[in-house]
Amino acid sequence: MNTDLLVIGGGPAGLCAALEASSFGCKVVIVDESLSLGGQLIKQTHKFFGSSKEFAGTRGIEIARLLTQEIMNKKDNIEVFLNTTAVGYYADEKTVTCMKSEQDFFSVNPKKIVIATGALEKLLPFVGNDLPGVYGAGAVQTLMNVYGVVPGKRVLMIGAGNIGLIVTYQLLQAGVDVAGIVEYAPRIGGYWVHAAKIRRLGVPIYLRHTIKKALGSSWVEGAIIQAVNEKGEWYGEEKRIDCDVICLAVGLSPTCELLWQAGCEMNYVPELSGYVPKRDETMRTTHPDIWVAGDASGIEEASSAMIEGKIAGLSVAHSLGRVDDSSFKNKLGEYWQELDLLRGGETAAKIRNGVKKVLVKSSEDSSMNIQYCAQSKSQVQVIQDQDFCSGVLPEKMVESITPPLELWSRKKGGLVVIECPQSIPCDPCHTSCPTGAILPFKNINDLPKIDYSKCSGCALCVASCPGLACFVIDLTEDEKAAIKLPYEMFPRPNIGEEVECLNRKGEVVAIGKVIRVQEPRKDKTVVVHVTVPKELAMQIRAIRVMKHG
Amino acid sequence: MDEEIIVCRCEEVTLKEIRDAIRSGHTTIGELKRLLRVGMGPCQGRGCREIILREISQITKTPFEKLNPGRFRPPVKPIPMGLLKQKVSQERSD
Amino acid sequence: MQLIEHHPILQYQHGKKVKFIFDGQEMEGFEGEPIAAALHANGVRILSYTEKYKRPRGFFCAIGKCSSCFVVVNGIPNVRSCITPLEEGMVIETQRGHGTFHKEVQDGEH
Repeated sequence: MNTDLLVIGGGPAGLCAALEASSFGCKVVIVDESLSLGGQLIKQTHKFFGSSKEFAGTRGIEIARLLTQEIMNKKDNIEVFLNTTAVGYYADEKTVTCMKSEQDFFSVNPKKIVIATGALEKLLPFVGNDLPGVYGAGAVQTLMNVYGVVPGKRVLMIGAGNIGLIVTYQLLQAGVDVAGIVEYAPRIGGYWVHAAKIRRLGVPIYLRHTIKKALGSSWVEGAIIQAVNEKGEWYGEEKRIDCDVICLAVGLSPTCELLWQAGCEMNYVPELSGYVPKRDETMRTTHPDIWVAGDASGIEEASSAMIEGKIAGLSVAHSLGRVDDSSFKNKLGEYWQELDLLRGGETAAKIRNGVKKVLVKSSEDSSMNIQYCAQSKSQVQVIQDQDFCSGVLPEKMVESITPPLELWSRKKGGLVVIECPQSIPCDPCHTSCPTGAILPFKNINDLPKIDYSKCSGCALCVASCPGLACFVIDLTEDEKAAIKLPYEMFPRPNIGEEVECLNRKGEVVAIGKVIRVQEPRKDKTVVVHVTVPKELAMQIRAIRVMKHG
Repeated sequence: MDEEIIVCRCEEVTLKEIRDAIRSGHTTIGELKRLLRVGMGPCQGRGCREIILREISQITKTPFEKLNPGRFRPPVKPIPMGLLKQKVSQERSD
Repeated sequence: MQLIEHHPILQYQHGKKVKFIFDGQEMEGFEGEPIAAALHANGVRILSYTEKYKRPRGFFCAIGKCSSCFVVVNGIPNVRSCITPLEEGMVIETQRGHGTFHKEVQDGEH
């Protein structure tokens, strides 16, 4: 089989590369191992961060659907082979061999290749780590979010990076109990808002702990965890946790075998989580016919994987003479600007450093004036507070997010409270605000700023924020405060129903009454209006429906 | 405890076996593969390679990025023999 | 089957319900969904016993990369259950060790 471009991997990066290249008339073949396109997006029920111009505020599953639809609309130019693995690259013949479903074996001779093979869950050495029930986080997501299978009764999560935090939230949504999250580092590694979401639902995070042992003889029946000191030595008492699933979310490794086989120059870059190829600003590796994009080029967010895919697709089209030089340079510059914004936040510092280690500027670069991995302007203040490090806003920081009392106490409808203390690339709070109260961002990594005089308390931000970090609190009633908070659990509460009110640590501090339930964006994030004792208005951040009957 | 920790799931090699082998001077992935079969099962080292390299790095006090991760050869994943036979006979008849 | 009945965000679209055999026992699953998901929904967690230490194994990555989820399907061993779609009437068995060549399979494709 001959084609202009072979894309290996149909996840966010691969699909964007295919779409971009085909938009310039390239013939594209996509091969993907799994049974549907979209890669890991098909498991992501949470809303994405990033810029609203792209997909911020849209759930991963929806992005997968949109991209797949676009691919299907280009049937004339893009051919898709699912359940198909690219098993080998043979440099002399420039051939990629593929196996479909262990039943068909064929080879592809492409002019160019984009390797977007994604990543593999890392393993962790501990006693019993191979027992049934020790599952990768991706596996747990596949079971529950793609096939609707209950993964277990009680899960212990290992790792508080974005994946561990997100999957914990998803488990709660699926009705599965999460015993806790074990994290080796002294602070969560993922977005702070993701941690806040699960802390307020009562899931503990054990910082500076590791798993020592999975208990059980046939499958997981529990786990032993213990604290570690700065040197990584165990100390203190062992804790036994009852669980039937241990979910590993200790990071991903780029899937890099084909890149090695092709002889691309590879480097081990810890910031990018493994062996990754050297590449130029167009994502071309040191092999002139091979590009890389997405997690295979270094573990990062899906939002940046998509832009890397576009860059690779654009560059392939350019190398095949389908794009003229000046449009190529303009577009490349635009894509890099977007990529830089996504990498501008404080959690992306690692990525910026990692990319710098493997980015080799091409000879054409000097004419392009692109700023690669520009440092974000915002100064990062490292907060050491124990609560803060595990996603709970400490008491002493509450004042800084409290609206001015004089206005607040008389403002019918209430004022917004945003608990978003970490610089991450995200802007839906501003773009959803109809009154301009949430000010425009100079840089999407800036923290939200509020002009309270313009806030109408409409709660559109509450429904839009991917981090579920916006709340509206109305203090104008005499005894009770009304909180409008985001809710994405099952079941939805009914109006008039009494619900448990939880503070930022998930402790039940009051019983509140639901006065209104809205779904402003018709996207399954509901805004629940609940009345609570006034003095608890700045403590209550979640509700739980009490067991019916 | 090391003897109870499986590092290479495919070939069932324990952390203790790996550490012992490295300490007795087998300090490359290539040697460990030949000695213990680590990374030679159906997953081709996708799970264990990094853990083993980290052990080599720690025991030999060599920075991780200086280590050689070994050769990568096709196929990345096992192919049924029958499929290859089919392919070869197909090509011969073409 | 242990299925998620209510989800605040997702609506599951299952395919046709089919019957299959696991270690002699009849079970139900959905056509086209991975064998591993169907087995898990039926409470099966052990997919194989290892060659050397006879340790029980389940799946790990569920995306066809780690080779931890081998089962015997219609007599053929080493089938990755996490990416192999379930079909009506499949006969699935727990794999023991690296698997054995069945006479009829040896003569055929594999």
